[in-house]
Amino acid sequence: MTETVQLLILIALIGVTTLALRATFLFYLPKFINHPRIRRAFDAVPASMLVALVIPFTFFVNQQLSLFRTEVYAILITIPLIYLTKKYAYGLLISIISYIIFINLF
Amino acid sequence: MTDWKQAYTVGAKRVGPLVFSAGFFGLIFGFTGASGGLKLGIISAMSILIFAGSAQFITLVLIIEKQTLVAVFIAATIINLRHLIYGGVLHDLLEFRGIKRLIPAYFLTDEAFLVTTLINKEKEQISLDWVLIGAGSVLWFFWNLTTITGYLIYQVTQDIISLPENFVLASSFVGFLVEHWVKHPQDRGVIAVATVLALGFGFIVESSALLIIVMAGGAIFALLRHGGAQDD
Repeated sequence: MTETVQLLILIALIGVTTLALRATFLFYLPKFINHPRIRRAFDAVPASMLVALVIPFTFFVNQQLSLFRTEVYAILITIPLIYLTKKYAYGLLISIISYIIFINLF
Repeated sequence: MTDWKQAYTVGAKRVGPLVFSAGFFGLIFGFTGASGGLKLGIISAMSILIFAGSAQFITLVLIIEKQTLVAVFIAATIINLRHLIYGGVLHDLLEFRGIKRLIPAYFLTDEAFLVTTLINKEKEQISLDWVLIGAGSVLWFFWNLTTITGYLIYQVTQDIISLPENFVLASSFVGFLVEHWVKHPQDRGVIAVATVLALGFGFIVESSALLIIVMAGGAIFALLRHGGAQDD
């Protein structure tokens, strides 16, 4: 019982800290950060974030470069398919179908 | 349809392709918690109160490994530091003022941030607060639902068939990356630099740290690239 209460307090603390981190710059952005050049840097965040979510998770496993895997082939074949069909929202669906096809082919 | 409803719907619809990915990880989260012997109340409390995937996973794993509570708290906080950047990006884009800003702040996950900033570049006349709330609340619902489902699955069977986790994550965002490349040619330099950084640092740092390094690297590149240009 004591352990459960401790864990719940810990989770609540992490929850409040997470909210505080998210809210800090939403509520107050220091002037030096609100400079036009810094704003341009901020504008670049979504693009680099997308790369950080795709590239490492495609090509690395436990910080080791791993290129010759079915998952890599499936994602690589997905890119031109999405590009040509312009079905950007279907990335996950196309790659899963590709993955299943590759798994069954080889 | 009123403006806020329209904006909420845009956010909710646009986050759709990412719901599968979030749900997949929600299942794994609930399943892992159950396999670590944690009660459903504890696991669900994490999904409700923290609502941040990577921070939740590190919290969960460290709790299961019986690490000290201070260590768990510090690890989760460090992983969540990237949310400061998200807040900075959205500071001028949101219209809510005062205490109301806590609502979008609560829903400011990686996915909701991404959807909101991408929509910002496409549509000028829309309330991004409600786009963020729409995207975040849909994610919240499925994240919590699948957390509980993952826990229940473990009670029935301990043999879960799943796709590779890294693959699901990468393929969830690959469509957004291609779309960004096509629709925002001005960001192609950033994408190229970020790719080099991701490939270089992928060998030496794990995913959360890599996310911060790549985002910071892309931002610094954008800063330097426009360094000589006249300020707005």
